[in-house]
Amino acid sequence: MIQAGSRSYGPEDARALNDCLHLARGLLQVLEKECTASAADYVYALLPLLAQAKLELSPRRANMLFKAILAVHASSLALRADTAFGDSALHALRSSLPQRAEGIAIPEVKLLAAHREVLRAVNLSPHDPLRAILATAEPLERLKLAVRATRLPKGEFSRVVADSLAQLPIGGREAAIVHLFETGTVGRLNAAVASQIGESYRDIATQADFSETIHASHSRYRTWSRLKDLLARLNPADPRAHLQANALAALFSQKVLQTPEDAEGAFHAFSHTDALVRRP
Amino acid sequence: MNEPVGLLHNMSAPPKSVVRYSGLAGLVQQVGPGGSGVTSLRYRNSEQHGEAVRFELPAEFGADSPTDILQSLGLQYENARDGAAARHLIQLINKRATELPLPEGCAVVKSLQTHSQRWPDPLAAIAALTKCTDTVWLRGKAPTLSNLTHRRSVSLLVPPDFLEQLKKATS
Repeated sequence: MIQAGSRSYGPEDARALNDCLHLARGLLQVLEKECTASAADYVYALLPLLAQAKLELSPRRANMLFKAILAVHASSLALRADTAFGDSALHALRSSLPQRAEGIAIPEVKLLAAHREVLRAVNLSPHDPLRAILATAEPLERLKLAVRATRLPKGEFSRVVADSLAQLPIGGREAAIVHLFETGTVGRLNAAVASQIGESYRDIATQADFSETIHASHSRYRTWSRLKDLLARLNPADPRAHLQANALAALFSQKVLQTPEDAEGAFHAFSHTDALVRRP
Repeated sequence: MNEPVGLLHNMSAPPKSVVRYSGLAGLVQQVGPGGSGVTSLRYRNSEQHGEAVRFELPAEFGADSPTDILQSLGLQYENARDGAAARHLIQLINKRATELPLPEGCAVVKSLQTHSQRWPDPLAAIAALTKCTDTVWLRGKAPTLSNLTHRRSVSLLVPPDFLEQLKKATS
């Protein structure tokens, strides 16, 4: 509009628009036969990633997005025959999120990251394990699938593990790290990711000794008291209990556990995750 | 409905005994708070998950250059070019690393004399030293020969599930 001249529009323009719409309708019919699988795959893989970015879409919205992608792509092809499917999908996605109307800000970086991730997944072979991994919303499930997919390349495996660990709750993350070392799976990671988690594992699996002086009125003192109560529930004869105790103590000394509720949450997250990762 | 319960006499435990399970709370020590409110906290756990295995290069082992290392290993290398020597050495390191019955990745822990040295050959020590970062050893990692200039020993923590294969290989 800013660059538009002051010319008037006549029957020629109406014809051009009509031709364009006619072409787009024809293209849509073709796309509905040939492109539905890609569009459906795109939406299917996108939903969990959007949910991770706190942008949840209902199944009805997912269907609307699917139709919008095909319609936008048909219109785009009518205007420019070399339009890429990904560009049309992103255009449709940006216009199909209801959150904006609710006043919820759309994090563009997360949206773009999800879109790129999904485009990669859509281009993968149907039997590629990465497709299933990317389509899984639960971080621990993604991690478990990646561990089982032994043919996953080192770079992909490292990325999935790093992302999943970052999304696990405090305590759960430590239990998952223990699992990666106990099974030797850490050897499949690249050196950067392995080194990072190696530091945490060392705190958990080796002899631990730390001391601190705090004032009884400090909130850390209450957290410490809660921690002590939680450790009292653990069985001294069980080696896993020692791992859990060390993990909690390390988190306390690193000031990750700030409140008694944090300590309680980390305690349960460790137990829960440890049980899940060890389940065959 | 509350029914009065008769007193139980002649019990083996005195009536005011308190049975308390303290689990792993004993790992925590606390002094205070006294009148000042200052509290000293201490956490101490001497348990280790798995067994630490130590690798060490002999004190007299020359490790200044690939040629130097090959000579220290007792291998005469005719080709004077250092690049070719490095390539040959890396092949030897990778081969030795695959022979070690360790998991594909292990945590690097503080090296102590008390840790058992199961493989005293210098090439095993080189395979351990050059394939580790500050925190992990990775069998698949490309060897970093420069590690040998600042480190002569390393201990790797082998998880419990791998100890059996470790014992079988070294017995």
